[in-house]
Amino acid sequence: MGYSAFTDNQIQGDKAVRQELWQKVKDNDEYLYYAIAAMQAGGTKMMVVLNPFLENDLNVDQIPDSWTRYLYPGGTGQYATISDSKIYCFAHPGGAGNGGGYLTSDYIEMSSFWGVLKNLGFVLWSTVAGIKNQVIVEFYSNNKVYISSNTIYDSVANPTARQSFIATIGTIPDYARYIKIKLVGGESSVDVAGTTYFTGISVNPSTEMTTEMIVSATIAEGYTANTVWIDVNSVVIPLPIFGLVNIGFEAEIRTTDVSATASQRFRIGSVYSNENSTVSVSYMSNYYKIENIYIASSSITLIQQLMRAAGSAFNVYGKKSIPKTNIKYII
Amino acid sequence: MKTLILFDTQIHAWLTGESFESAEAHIRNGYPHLLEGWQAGTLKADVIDITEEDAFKSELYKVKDGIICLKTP
Repeated sequence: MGYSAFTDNQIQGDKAVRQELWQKVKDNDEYLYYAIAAMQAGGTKMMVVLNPFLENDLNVDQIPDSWTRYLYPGGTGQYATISDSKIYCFAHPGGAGNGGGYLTSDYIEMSSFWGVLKNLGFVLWSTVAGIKNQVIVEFYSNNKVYISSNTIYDSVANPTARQSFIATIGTIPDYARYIKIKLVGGESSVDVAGTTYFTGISVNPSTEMTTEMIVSATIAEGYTANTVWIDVNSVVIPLPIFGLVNIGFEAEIRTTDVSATASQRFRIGSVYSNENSTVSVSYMSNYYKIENIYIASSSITLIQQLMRAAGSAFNVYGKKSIPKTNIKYII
Repeated sequence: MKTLILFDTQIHAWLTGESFESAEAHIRNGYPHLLEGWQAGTLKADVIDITEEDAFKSELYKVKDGIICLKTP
């Protein structure tokens, strides 16, 4: 049984309502219900966000359908019209303890395959940069019991014009089978009046790689005898682009004694690269990559971390090698 | 330069330029073996000011009586 369209004749104002019409309403409703259920719970688990632009509000209660709303003291949440587009917004009136509010999505079933859920896309901006906005992903078990949450956007320096974000969701707890998305506009711990707009919420938005750039950067030789991961060096890398990038590069590592394993990795903020280890006393070159970093400034700081395996107290060394110092951005 | 340090009786992570609020993200992404201690409250986080010159000289510091302090010669 597929979807069956209504004819104009069937819904004329002066026409008697027949059982046939209600049967069609019922059949169509069931068809659409099971179609959505198949997307959400079927083998493909498409991880669909219902009402992703927050525009649908059938009962006109100023709360987007398929989302629930909480308002902080003094806060308002409502629709605004900007450039003929219907946009949902929260207003923080200012004042200690006051705030805007937040929207929480319905449960979104996720695939049990690790790594399938990677990014969340959203459009966000505020009338005042200093208002506190957050985007939070909450994880739930198969029985819809709350497990934990990742705050993937948390800022008091927000864009004041429309900006599209793609944020990495980060580590997903074991046994998480559902997520909820929480959009916080004007969080109440920050006393700044203003309005925050949200739209365009999507799970795993397209991150098609379109451009590749190569920029040179060097990290001087660093060393440590620590047996935990420690920052040992850094380099500031100019970035000619904004958006989601993958960064790849080669770097070298060595130990001063074969009994002390040297390990190296890199980080940008709290996003970490893969790790490489060696017991070679000569420099060994390895490839490192850091994926899905959202770039919102004109430069980033790449930080080198080193670690020595427990055992002999020898130093381990690492550096970005020459001539393999190029850092390749894939945008 | 602000530096985030994760520690209990010893330093477990030295994170240059990072904020206190980023501690959990670092633990989840880079130090998952510390998550249990973090959730149990045995692992602590502190942000201290380090001169740029000493930004990466974690070996100069230690944990004493629950706080991060300079090693004395």
